[in-house]
Amino acid sequence: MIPRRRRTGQAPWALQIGAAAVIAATLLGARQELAAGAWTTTARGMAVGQSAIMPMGKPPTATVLEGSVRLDWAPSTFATGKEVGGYLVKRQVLGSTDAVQVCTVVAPLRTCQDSKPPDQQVVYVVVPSQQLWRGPPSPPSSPVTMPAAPLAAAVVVPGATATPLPIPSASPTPTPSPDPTPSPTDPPSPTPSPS
Amino acid sequence: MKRKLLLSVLASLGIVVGAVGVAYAVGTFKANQLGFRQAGEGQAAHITMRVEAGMADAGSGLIPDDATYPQYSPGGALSFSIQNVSDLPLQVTKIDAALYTCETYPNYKQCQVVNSNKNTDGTFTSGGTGSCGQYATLVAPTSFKNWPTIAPHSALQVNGTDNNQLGAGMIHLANNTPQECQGATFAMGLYVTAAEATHLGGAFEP
Repeated sequence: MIPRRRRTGQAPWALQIGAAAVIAATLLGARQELAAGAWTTTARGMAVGQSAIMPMGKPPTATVLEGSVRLDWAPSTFATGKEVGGYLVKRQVLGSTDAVQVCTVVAPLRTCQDSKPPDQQVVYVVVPSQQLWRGPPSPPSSPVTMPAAPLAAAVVVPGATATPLPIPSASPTPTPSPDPTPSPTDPPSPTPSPS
Repeated sequence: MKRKLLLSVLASLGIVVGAVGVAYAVGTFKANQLGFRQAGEGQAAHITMRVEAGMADAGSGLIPDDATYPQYSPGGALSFSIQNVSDLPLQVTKIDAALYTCETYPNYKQCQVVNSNKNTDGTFTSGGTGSCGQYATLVAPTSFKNWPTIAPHSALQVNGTDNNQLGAGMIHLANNTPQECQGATFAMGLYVTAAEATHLGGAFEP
């Protein structure tokens, strides 16, 4: 009786071994490459890439408004046609080398509004930006002199399209204006980037 | 008695099948390592290919990734060619960056092999030791469905300009890449794995 029991107990073991072997072989055969009969090879090599160069800024068009100057410019694009990520707008007193950043604009916006500049002729330049990269500044805008205004709002609004604009003054051209009523001249502060 | 015989036959069959499977797997592994394919008439067909650098193109649009949305930054194209010098068609199945052990003890880590001709101070250097290289990363494709089969003794040019834009977006620059790295050339080491395409009937994903 005991040997018979041993024999009957061996049957499941043998079946399991056989089944396991069949399953293992089936799984091996199910590997995609083996099933496809594909053989692979690996090779090492080098690939090259080259970083882009920032495009130059486009000169802004300055429009004198009541108490502010609005600036608009054309897009600066990489060789691929993609527009740069943003722009910095700087103001320079005519004849000076010092520049004050007055706007940081994220593309595709390309407009900026500067508050009343000092009573001097100033020009604006646009510098394309992409993260830490900066492109060559644009040629300067035409010189701008703000006409005298009793109440000058000191606002700098990037993306000025959403800002209600005051009525434009009659003369967008440079107008030397003796100002009989001196008003406080707060230098405009750069507006942080919306990003 | 019959049952015992049946069991014995089954067990033997199973062992034989298992052994054949293991032998097949080992043989395939060796073939993969060596780049050989077993062929008829007892000969072995050599499956080999060469990967060579292409021409750098500043017009590929490689600019620093966006700091806020790096996942939407397209990166730039890598230029290289894959030459199939075997008698069998090949299908690219995987691309990996070549790595080396960098940093110092005990902070060893694996870094990608990236060379550059420019330093972060804007000066150019020879030998590929430019420090701008630390800002570049290879991003390998995750799918090769649109990679064509490379016919025997022909080459596949990869530079991001074909209809499938193969190679586009394979190199990225960190968002803090200094502006002095504009116009820098980068050379990146990579491993290209390809499979025999005869039985595949087209590309597949690894």
